[in-house]
Amino acid sequence: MTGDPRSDGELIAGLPRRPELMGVLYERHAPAVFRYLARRAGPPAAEDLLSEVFIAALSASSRFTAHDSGSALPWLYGIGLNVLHRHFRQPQPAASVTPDRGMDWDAVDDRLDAWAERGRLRAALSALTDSDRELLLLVGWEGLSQTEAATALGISPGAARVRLHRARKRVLSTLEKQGPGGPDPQVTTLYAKEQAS
Amino acid sequence: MNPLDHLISSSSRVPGVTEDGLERGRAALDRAIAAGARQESPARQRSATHWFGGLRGKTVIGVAAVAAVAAGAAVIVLPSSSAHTASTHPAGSRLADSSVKPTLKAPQPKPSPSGQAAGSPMTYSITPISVTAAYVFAQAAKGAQAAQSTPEGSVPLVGGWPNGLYWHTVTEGTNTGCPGVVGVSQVWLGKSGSEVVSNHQQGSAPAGEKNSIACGGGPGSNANSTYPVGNVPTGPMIGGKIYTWAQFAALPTDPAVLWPILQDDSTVGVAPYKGVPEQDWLYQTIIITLESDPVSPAMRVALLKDAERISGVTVVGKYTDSLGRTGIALRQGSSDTQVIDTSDGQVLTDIQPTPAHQGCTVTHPQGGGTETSCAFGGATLFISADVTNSEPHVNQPTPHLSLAPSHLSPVPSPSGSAGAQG
Repeated sequence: MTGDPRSDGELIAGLPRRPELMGVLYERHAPAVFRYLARRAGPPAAEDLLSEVFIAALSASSRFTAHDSGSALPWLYGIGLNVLHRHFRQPQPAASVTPDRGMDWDAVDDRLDAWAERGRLRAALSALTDSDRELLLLVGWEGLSQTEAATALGISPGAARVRLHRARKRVLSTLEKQGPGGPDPQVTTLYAKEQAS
Repeated sequence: MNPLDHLISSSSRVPGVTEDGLERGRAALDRAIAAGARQESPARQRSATHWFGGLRGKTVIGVAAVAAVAAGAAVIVLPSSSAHTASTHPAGSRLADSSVKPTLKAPQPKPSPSGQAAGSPMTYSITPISVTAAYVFAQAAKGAQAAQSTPEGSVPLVGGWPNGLYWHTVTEGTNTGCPGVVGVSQVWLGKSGSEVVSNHQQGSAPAGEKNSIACGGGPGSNANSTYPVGNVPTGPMIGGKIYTWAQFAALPTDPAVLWPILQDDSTVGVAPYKGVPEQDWLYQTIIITLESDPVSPAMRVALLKDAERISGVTVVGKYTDSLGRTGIALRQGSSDTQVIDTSDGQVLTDIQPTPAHQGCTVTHPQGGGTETSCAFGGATLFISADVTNSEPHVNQPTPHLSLAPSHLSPVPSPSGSAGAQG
């Protein structure tokens, strides 16, 4: 990727005076941030939003401290989530899509090989709140540690640990109840109602 | 692999970014950098200056807080991480440090106006103690037993159960992503099978979307919100097993009878921690239950007695947290460090190292003892856990950092309580 020997923390520390260092962070992390966005919004939208994340990070960097050997990725994912929220608030071309603040579920379904699995993940995760779901996916999809995921979401790490633990168990129990078939319609309906309120 | 991990894993595969997409993104970023350099240069200068001034501010506030603790002041107005620093260094050396002009080359704490550098490397003193973890748990069990029998520490029990509608826990945490802001989390676990979570940020995040976006506080975020956790059953949990309130209340409080239940429950849905030895998993099960679930005083005693059986727990030392509360820091495997108050068996603090800094640097200053420096991913303080009949409320006043340590004891449920339900 980039041969720059400086750590993310060093680069971020230098950003207030040298914003062009964000370019080094871009070279280093754009592929991962793209995957983060693509998993939630699909690759076409991800390509459009990629630069927005780094531009927003530029504005926010004066408040951020990364550890010397820490990665900037949790921070960039946290900004990515807010960029996604803004994206999903805009009118979507496909009006049939269930509005969801952080996820294009059709894009997620497209990645599941088995037809029977489509909708299952969605139904199981829709039983969670946005932040619990994001916590789960930052660990499951992005491979962050619990602390890093908490960092990305701006919640306390200890609370995140308990939340993640509980969220996982509850989703598992939903999946077991669902069986191998499709989503539980009741869960989906309740979720839509909750989102609408 | 369990069905959840299978679904998550199969849905994680996405194509990589195209060369073209990468280049277009870079071009857009470069345009923004160029535009920002023209327009925002004075602001950036200010920010660098403030940063330097803030470091001094932090030190002074920290020292003042230690004095306040020593004087027995009831109100401590101090973000958590500062006190860790303050409790470590003599005031003089710390002030001297802050007069050294920092270089921008290395990452430095970038305190917010409140003086807090959340998630920055925290330094604290550990008083070494030569006891075993089993001894600490035994002492904590004794403490919990004693707290149970004293009038001020007792929770009115109906049918052996705390008498109220909700089990209400309050935690405060700092994390690396958002310096200057303390996240207050509240959870109301309802007797009727509900669970409401409130996340609320306190501190001095500058207003405006551009800044709050890095704190997860942008529009549409859950950083400041109160919400029910969803539409699936919830309730008190041990390991992976969800109990109804009544079932949980009926769990045996004889440690020998409770132990096999802990062993069974701790393996339910163990996949997220696959590869983790059983002993670690049992430790996590007990700690998480102590931290978050409606544990009756008698059950707390039993859980702590059972924790004595777990092998591989190391005693880190005697630890004083930023509210002046002292406990014993314990660590199991490579997981977090927990601080347990042996006087009443409560978990005080949970310290999470960043992955890259699981090992801490230990030095031996001249005065004896050890000084430990770690870059933490964050620290969480367990502020209170008690029964309540008050409904979850978004604007419920939170006891942010203004607590006397005694607040950690269970408090009696309010009058007019709901009686023995479920």
